[in-house]
Amino acid sequence: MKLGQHSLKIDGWLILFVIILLVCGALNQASATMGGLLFKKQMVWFGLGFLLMMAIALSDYQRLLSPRLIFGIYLFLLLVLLILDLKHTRWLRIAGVGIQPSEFAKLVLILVFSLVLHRRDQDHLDLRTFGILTLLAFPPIVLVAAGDLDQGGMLFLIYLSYVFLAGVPRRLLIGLAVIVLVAAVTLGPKVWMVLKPYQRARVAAFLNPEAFRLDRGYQILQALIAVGSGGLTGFGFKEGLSSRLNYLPEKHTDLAFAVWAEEWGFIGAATVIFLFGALIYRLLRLAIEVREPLGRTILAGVAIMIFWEAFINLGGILHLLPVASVPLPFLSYGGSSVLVNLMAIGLALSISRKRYSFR
Amino acid sequence: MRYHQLFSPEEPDPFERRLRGTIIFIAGVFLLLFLKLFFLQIIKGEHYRELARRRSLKVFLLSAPRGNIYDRRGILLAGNSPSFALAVDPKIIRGPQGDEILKRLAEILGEEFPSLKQRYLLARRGTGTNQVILAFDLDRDTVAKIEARRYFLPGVDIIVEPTRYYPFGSELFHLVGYVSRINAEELKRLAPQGFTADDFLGRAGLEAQFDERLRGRKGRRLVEIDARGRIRRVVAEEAPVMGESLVLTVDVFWQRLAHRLLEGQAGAIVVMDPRDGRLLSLVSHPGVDPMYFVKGFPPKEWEKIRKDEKHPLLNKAFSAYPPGSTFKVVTAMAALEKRVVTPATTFFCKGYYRLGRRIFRCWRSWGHGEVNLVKALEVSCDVYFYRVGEEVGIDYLSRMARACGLGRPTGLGFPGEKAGLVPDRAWKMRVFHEPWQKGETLNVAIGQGALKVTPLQLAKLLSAVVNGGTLYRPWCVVQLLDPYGEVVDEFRPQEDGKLPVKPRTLYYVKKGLVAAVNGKEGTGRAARMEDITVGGKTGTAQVVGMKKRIHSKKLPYLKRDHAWFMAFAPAEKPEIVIVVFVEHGGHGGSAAAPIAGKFLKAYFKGEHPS
Repeated sequence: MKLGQHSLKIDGWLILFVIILLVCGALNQASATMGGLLFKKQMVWFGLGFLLMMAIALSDYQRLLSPRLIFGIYLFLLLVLLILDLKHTRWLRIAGVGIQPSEFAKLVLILVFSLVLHRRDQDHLDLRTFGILTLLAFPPIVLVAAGDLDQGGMLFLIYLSYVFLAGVPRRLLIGLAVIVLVAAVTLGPKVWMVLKPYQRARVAAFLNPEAFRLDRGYQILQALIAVGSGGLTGFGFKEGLSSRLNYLPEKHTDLAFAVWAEEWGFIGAATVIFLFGALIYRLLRLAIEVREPLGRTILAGVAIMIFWEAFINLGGILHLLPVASVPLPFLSYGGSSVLVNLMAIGLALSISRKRYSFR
Repeated sequence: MRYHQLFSPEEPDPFERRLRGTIIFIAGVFLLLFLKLFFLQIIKGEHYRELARRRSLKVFLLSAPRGNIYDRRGILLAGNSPSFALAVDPKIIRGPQGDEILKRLAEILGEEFPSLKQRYLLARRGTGTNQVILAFDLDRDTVAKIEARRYFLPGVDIIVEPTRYYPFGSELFHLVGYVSRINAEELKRLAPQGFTADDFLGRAGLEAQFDERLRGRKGRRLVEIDARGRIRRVVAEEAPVMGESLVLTVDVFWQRLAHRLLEGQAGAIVVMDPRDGRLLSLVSHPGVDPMYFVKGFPPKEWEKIRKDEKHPLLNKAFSAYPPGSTFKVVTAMAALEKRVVTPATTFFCKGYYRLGRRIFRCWRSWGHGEVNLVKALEVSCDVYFYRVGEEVGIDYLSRMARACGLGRPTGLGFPGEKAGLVPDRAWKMRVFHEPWQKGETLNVAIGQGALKVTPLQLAKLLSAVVNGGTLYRPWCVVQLLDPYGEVVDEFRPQEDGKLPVKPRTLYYVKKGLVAAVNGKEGTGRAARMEDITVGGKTGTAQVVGMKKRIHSKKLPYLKRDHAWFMAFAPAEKPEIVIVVFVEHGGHGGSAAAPIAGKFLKAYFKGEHPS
């Protein structure tokens, strides 16, 4: 690979934010997993992911991402998801290492959607493009949701975001909003009755966790106690009462941020939220700066993916949303999540290098 | 060709417009996250910190060792030994998971699971605390087994607690008393003062009287509890402070001797130093092994004690009984003081005394002949005292009895001490709504009728008679020591008034008492010693009134007479007063006096009673 003058244009801010987040993630895992085997594994994933990110960043994404390759990966993903669904598992085991294809599905969908929008470049979304997007989105969404409802929802959000990003005419948007509102009012109670009890309980536990303190509300209650008791400065590294005494369930995965907020307090937690905000803002700024249509769509997709991941996770822990089982990028444990997010950032870096060049 | 449009600033790219919109939307969401974080951590931070503390920090009370009780030579009468109790946390032991743990425990304890579970449910109901004690007094093997399986028994804890220990068993039961576990009702009452379900309370004797001083101060331990209920770390600890220790005036040697002398009988022995009222021994027989109260009674043992006609739980040293002839000392003093008689005045005893149409018999049916005061005390002539009593009258006699300390508690301070009863006109009116009969005065004059005194009261009275007239409050604790052995409190003899009599009166009464032991016809000759002059007075108190005197041995146990003997020695300079009371023992001279004699011989000559 030639390191020409392009390599100098790599975006420093993006790398800086990611590195700080990785440091926070490493510290948090050191505490949440008590520095055990999982911590060492996570460090290996961080190293691997960082190398992958830099490799992608330094490569030429336009040459790398041929439509044929993207659709090839897409079809391969569908095949893997189908096989896993038939085997009733979320995990693909390769040489003793577990990989979650549903995580990779996010990146694959972003690439596929971006390619479609790039191919059918228009000011607004026409019906045909919408149809193609939907047709391409639903097989993986359904296949993922069958095994993991929360990740399926995540894919659906990315799909929806792309639809809006492609440009829904304003009249249609307003019409849709009205229909959704009317449907919510008229059909809402009926849908509520149709919902399965455990689904209802999840919503009920969100509305009133105290009433479900021992089962469904336990997780959110302990998360709130952990976050709240952090106060301004927190308990200090490895000193969190809730995490050290194992009151926090899923403390190294879904509720990793609660551990962080408890131990580093408002100062640390606000820093992490700020870093995510800054990272997403930087990605969107780059998307505005980059003039190359495929690149900027991918950039926007990466930003949106990280936004939804962060918002669903943080919103759940801070009790703005029902708790969903999705990892927080860089802070939660999980090899697939680390790899996917770092690969996405690598792609963004690669695109950012070509901000001012045209081919 | 589209790129031309992009570069024209007046018409922005719609995609860029949507990106800017996205930025605003996302910024709004992040502001929301940030505000919620601020609300949780800064505004509600203290609230959640309190919740976290309440959830994961627990305070355990550490029971304090009770103070020790020593006799006057420093021999331990009550101490502590460690014992292991099994405690479980009801917050963790519940539901199917709790059953699982209880099953494992049942296996270790060698018990059936259902019975353990039932015991657990019962124990849990009583207490609102975070600990339910499932078993006391575990042996070391069981403790080791549980400790080794600690990991599989969350919420289960072994508590090491100091347990009361009484080296002398039943011999000091009535003096030292005992402790037993707090019951549910008391717990409800005392919980605000920091008592918990595994506390002991002093129930009788010194343990009850000095309960607050002996108890000590509880320690506290602040620990971190993890989500599974295991203690992870001790955050802070405040060590318990041992209670204060008592040093007694009582000598365990005399105490055990006195206890042994009453072997096989029911009764009490009080040994007092007449010079200041200190108790050398206070025995009530039979006693109970106090360890039963500490560890819990086997039902059979409890049934046995409850049904025993010798009433082992009753402290006879300060229960009230008719004093019999021992009361003649009071009548004699009243007669001399009221100048009804002089020491030289004689009466003729022909075996009975007639008052109106009633006949009052002397215990010796053939009479004593001419008797003066000293002789009457020597032979315990009833007729002399009938006559004297009639002339003194109940008003004066009851006043004298009260001045001698009868009819009210002695001031020893033990819980359960009886006041006894000195009857008079007002009492008769109050209780029976009838006027006083003259015949009753005669009965009271020889210590019968409604009159009731305690052995301790007699010891106090006799001490005053022989020490020149000073009533001392009986006492048995000299010092209170802190855990380091420093003296915190010291007790001194306390005067409780003077006998309202002239020294001359005391001289003649004493002379009569010496004659009662040493005289040829003395009733208390069984207590005589060769080279030390003993003075004393016997007493035989009828339990049921009878027309004819029947020998006690022929009566059923519960109808036999009470035997009394009170003595002092040496007569010239008394240093010891002993009161022996044998319940349903029969004749004072033959049942009680020999016991006093044996004690005095052991005391003065070191003769070991066979």
